[in-house]
Amino acid sequence: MRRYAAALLAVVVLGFVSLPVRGFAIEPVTETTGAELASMTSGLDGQLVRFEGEVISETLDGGQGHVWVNVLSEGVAIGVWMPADMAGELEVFGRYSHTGDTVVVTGTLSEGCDLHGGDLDVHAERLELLTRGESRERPGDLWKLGVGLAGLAVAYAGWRRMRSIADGG
Amino acid sequence: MWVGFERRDLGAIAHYTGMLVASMALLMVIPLLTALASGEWGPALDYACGIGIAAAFGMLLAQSAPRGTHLTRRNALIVTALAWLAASLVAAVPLSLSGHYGGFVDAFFDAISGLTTSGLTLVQDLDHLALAHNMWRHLLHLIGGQGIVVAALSVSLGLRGGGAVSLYMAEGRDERILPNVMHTARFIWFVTAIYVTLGTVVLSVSNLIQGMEAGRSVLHAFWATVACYDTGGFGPQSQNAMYYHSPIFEGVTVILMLAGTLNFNLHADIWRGDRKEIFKNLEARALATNIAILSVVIGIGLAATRLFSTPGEVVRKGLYHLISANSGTGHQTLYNAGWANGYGGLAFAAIVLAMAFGGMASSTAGGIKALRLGLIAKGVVLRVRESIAPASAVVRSRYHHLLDVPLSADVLANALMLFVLYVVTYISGGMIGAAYGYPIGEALFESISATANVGLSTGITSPAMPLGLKVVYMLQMWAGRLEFIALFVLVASAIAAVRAKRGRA
Repeated sequence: MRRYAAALLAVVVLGFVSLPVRGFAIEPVTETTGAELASMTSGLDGQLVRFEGEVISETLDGGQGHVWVNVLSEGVAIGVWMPADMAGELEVFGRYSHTGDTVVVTGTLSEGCDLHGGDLDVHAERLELLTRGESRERPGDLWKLGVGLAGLAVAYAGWRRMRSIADGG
Repeated sequence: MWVGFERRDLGAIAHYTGMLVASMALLMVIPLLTALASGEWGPALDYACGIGIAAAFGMLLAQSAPRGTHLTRRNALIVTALAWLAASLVAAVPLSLSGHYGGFVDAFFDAISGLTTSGLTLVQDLDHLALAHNMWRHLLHLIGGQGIVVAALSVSLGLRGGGAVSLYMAEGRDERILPNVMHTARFIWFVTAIYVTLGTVVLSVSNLIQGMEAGRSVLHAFWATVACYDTGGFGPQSQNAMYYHSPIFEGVTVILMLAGTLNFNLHADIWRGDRKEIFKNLEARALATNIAILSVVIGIGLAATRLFSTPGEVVRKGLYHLISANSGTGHQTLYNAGWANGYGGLAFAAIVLAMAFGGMASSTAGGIKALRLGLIAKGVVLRVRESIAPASAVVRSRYHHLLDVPLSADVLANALMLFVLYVVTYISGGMIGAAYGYPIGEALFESISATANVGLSTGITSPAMPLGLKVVYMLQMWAGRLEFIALFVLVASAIAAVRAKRGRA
């Protein structure tokens, strides 16, 4: 029985030791914004950061089973590199017709990323979906069509007049 | 002697300005079709309105004189100066209606920036801008890069006859590649079409591989190609070239930027099979020397910051921005704020010098131009040789630019005059920016970027910047694109007209 208990204890201890360090290390996470990250004065290079923003346009292939997701946060978009399956729950991307999903990204900031040719980026470790994106209402104003047609009528009359003068009329 | 205006001068100026403005209405059909094809009904109405206003405004102005009216050299310069402003005014209408600008002035700023291929922008929430509006912004680069007059000439839009040659020369194009300006204009478009097609195909494939939808792949590829080949700098995403996270994108756009900064005469020589010209040409040599020296400077500067760990990163970032600055493109893979805060003084200085020097003459690039720098350098050497030669010796210098020609005092004086005009404008804009409270280094960077039609920014150019500074940068972009002379002729003619009116009274 003692042997079994000792073996079990050894397995548990080994299990804890072999777990990723980050899972248990108490690493400070700095709450920030895209604007601050891109300022080059944040002092957060190489640190764990967390910021909220809207995913825009689409995911782009990032190699090594990863994708790029560009996240717009306080008017500045930041490239976030994450495993493809992490981005799996993203559905709506911000563009003219839609507001994209709002997410919270937790990851490591690189002001000059060695893996990506010196780009400023964030390598994501966690992605939380806050709100699902939605389509944007963009009603058109019909008065613009009226102005356009009136302008074309004026232009046509002017063109006819110029032609008649050129033809000696 | 200042010659006043007669009624027929004003008529001719208004007529040709009107015809050029009316051509903007035709161009707006492209973003209108883009809007209709992509179901963007709101932007479609913006362009319907813009087309009507541009057509009416243009045709009303054109009534001032009959078609084929003779245009003197002075009047052609005035038409050119006015046409760039008037075309920007009507081009701003649909942008202003988009709801993405703080007001008409901001939209006008972007229209001038687009047409002058500067690339500075005041657009808000670019990442949600309609495809149609992005199409229009990039078309402005395409038209402005080739020249509004060249664009109108190529479709023979009412500009045949006496006005065509004068207008062509007045637009800052000092050489005729082919004997006939109409053929020259078409050759310029032919070269452009080849580069734009090749660039669009290659970047479309790259975008598709990266996972973009087919339609967006092609549109983004076309826009990036146009922005780089026409050395403009607009992008459809707020991150500009950073959005793509792609070394292939960066490589292709560097080639396009270099092609865009090449003198159209050199393109013609390459097309004719005379590739030796590019190695003998003073301007090509001056540009290559400029890029080589400044590449070393920016490389040392970026390495000194220790921000980048490998030489590969330094080369990739340094060379991209140096060529972007030197060609007057303004595409970037680094954030604006970094120029002021993160990339060090030496890299900052290299970018400032590259922007100020600019690309080649008779290209879409801005700035002082490599040919003038080469001529000035030759002039300095000549003066030194004269100083050390015996008093009786006659010292002459020659240079090769398409032909072997002697370096004359006139040519040198012209190069020096434009050098001084550019430098004075760079410094003046910088001082105005400083007077508004911005740090002098950043204000100078922005002023040079505007005057040399580059588009790189330290972040000063934003919707929040003071109205006065927006106006100053607009004037700088306009003056820089026309290389000052057309603008001066416009001002001098206005003064002469006022004097003549007073004299009659």
